[in-house]
Amino acid sequence: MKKTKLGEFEELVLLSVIVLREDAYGVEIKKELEKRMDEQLSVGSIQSALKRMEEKGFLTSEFGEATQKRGGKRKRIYNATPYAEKVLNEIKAIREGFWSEIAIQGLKTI
Amino acid sequence: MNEIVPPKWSRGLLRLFIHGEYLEEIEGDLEEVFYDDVEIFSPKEARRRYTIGVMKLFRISLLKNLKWIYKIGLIVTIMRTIRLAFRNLLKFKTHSAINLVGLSLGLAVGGLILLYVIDERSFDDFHEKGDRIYKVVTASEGGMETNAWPIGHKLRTEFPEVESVLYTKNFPSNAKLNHKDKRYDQTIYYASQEFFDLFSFDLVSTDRNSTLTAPFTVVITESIEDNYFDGNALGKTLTLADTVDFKITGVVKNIPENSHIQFDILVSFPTIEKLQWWSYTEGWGNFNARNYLLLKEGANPEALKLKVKNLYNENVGDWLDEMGISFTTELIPLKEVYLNETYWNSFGPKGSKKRVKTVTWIAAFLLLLACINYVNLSTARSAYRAKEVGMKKVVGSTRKSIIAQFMTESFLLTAIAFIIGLALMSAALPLFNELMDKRYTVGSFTTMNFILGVVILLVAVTIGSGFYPAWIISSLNPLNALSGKLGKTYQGLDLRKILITFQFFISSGLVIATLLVINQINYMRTQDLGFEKEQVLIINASDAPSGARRDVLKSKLESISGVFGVSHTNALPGRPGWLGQWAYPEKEGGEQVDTEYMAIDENFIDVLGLQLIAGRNFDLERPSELDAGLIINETCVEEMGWNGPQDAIGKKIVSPSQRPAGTVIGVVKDYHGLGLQDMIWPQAMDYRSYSYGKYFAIRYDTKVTYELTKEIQGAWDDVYGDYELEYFFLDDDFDRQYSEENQLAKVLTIFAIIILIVSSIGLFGLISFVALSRTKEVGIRKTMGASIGQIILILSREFMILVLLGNLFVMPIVWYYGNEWLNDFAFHTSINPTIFIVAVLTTALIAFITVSIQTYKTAKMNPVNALRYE
Repeated sequence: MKKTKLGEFEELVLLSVIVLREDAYGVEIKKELEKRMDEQLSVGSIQSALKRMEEKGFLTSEFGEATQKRGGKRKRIYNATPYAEKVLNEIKAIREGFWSEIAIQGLKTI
Repeated sequence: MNEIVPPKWSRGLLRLFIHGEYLEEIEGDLEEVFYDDVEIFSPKEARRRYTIGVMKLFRISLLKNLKWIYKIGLIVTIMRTIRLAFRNLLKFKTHSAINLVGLSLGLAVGGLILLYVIDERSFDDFHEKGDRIYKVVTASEGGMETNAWPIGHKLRTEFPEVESVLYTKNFPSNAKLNHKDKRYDQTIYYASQEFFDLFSFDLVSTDRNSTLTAPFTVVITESIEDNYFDGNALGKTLTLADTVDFKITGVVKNIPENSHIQFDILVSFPTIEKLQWWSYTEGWGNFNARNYLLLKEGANPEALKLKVKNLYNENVGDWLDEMGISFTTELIPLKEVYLNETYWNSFGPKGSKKRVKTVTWIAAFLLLLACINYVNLSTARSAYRAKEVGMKKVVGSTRKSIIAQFMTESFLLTAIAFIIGLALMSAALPLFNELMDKRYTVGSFTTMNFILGVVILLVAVTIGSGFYPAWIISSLNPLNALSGKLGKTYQGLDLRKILITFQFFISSGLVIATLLVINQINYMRTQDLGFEKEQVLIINASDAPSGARRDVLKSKLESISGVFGVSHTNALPGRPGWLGQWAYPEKEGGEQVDTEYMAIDENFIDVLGLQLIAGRNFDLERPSELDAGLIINETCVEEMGWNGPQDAIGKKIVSPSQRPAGTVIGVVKDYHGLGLQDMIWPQAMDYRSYSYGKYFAIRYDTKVTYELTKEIQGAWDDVYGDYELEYFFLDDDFDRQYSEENQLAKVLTIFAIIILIVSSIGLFGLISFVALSRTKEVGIRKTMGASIGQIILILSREFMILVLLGNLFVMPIVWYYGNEWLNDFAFHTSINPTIFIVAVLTTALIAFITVSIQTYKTAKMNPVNALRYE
């Protein structure tokens, strides 16, 4: 996976961004991931993944609206780039290749 | 209510470090999470989470852009500064070592004390409703921490701001847990159903709100469950006091150690109504309730405190006025119960604010002294660094960067000292635990609060030790610095003198205080108590059934060879509340005398070794004296206004109550029923043939102690085979009353030694500089014919004066506070002037040895070498 430079956690964050569509901003992504992974995440870990991916060209972002709860601060809404979608598909294909082979071998424990 | 906002300083930190472009978004995210948290957790918890969230933001990708200049330049600069600092530390090895020893000792002690203080202050801070819970105490003076029954009821029913009131009460102390034909001692309380609503103990039960509601139900702790129910107790039956069965409706996780409430078993409060006559509204004289109240949210505790203050007098005022006493009701915030100075806590452990303060001060002084060493050595050394600083300035260094350079040195040293200190702390942990009666482990060093405290400590020590020298050295004029016009010691000499004086002020003060405490303990140990506490063995028989079997046991004990006498008694010197009762007999003219009275048997006086100074003891041959005779003490004679012991014999004592009315048949010499902290009250003893005493006091021959205990065990087993024999020795038991003073003496001794070490090595380092800088002078003096002794004297004089001055200044202060401390003891030594002399001699001698070692080296030098020096 070196070619695509997408870490495992980054991949999960990226998937959340895609799932959440126009709601894809920091806190919402955090909640989504916490729900799915059943574990506590920090704002910092999400944010650093987002910033890294933006730098690598997986994400674009723009400011969204501000809310009372955020002390009047604006959200930043993230969007996956076509490049990201391409990379995700590649990863998925690689994985699926593995899994189909494992299925043939009949691995029971998974 | 205040608006709940995220903690300001965390937000400040955030703004300081986070990349500007990301700030708005991330701050918004954090705030959103914070307000979500507020709804789920307490505001405190939400704030904590916010802070942790901020801490977790320290990631390279989110931090302010450390652009190339920083990335390379800053790191290089920092690395260079650190390398330079290391070189300087290594160049002056002795001084670095001295500073390291001082600082690591200081930080180790400081760290341990920090651990202790954090722990003592953390008591009961885990209860979710803790801010609204108050302990209710009604008393006429300090001490008992209980409440009169009707007060709880009034609070529950008549005060709208009170949400609920919790009742707790001791379960009879002789009730044991029955398990497989054996009895086990447990800590048992009655508790009403509010218990688990108020306190956040982890409860496993079918329903938290309905536990403790039905009679004959109990809640037990996990350890009881594991010990007696194989880890599965819910719904099972538990038997107490041989006869009463209870259903277990809840199991509580073992109680955290930092709670002032500790128990094994809670019995539901309605049980009490089934076991004895009970009323919530009557019984104003019945002070054995322990009440806690929960205030409604938003209610003002101060207003309620005022309202309840005189609740007792308002209800039973007339009667109290006649007695001339008044009771006040106090509300103690839950978090303060543990360290409260006025009232005991018999519900669990009790802390001491005084002890916390004492050790905090000592640790602060120790750290200060270690910092002073650093300041003294660094300023003394400044002459040697002047050229370096001058050169740097000429080349264009700013003052700021020179300060940074010197501060880095002190930080580095502090950091190394801290690592050594950590090792010392771990090594000293067992000793510290024993000293403070705690159970800390190395794991205790990893709590959030402790780490935060240590960081603050390190920053404080770095600044405290490093800033002044850095400031002074960086202020040098480069021209003077480079031309070497600074002279040998340059400036700051006066400050150094003051600081040395201060060091010995503290050291010697601590030495004097230590001696003072030890003196008082010795006095209390050796003072004639008026009875003989040695050679008395006590059997605690309070659990065994009373009645005729007691007499059987007594005669069996008496027949053992090596036993001189046996007294069956309820009273035992040295046990708080050991005396029977208070009575107020009248002396001629009707004035009442506060008197303690107690009932004794005919052997009591002999077994305890009381001295009859007039009249005679109770004698079974004179039944009329057994009926109406009294034996009183000297203080009683005096208070009744009689002329001496002989005059008292045959006098009648009249009392409004039934006892202790009677005729005086004997007078005993005053004796100390309690430790020497307490005064001796008038006392009257009458005769009662006990068959229900708590104790058997046995005077015995110490030569056969071992054989004797075997035989006593045998005698006990014959009579009370199904109960455990519990015995102890009177002298040990009595001396336990001095455990607090003993602890203080140990703490002071250890600290006094450490502080003396730190002060002395500081002096040692400083002298080496002074001696070095006066090498030429010494050479000249020697050529002129001065002896080694004379030179030592000349070099040391200046410092010895400072040491003596420190001693002199501290004396009046210790004198004053020492007297204050001693006055808490009803019987105490006067401050012995020799302890001042001993302290002066000790500190002066240590200082002199320190100074002479260095000066001797200089004085011994060949004057030719000395004159060629430089």
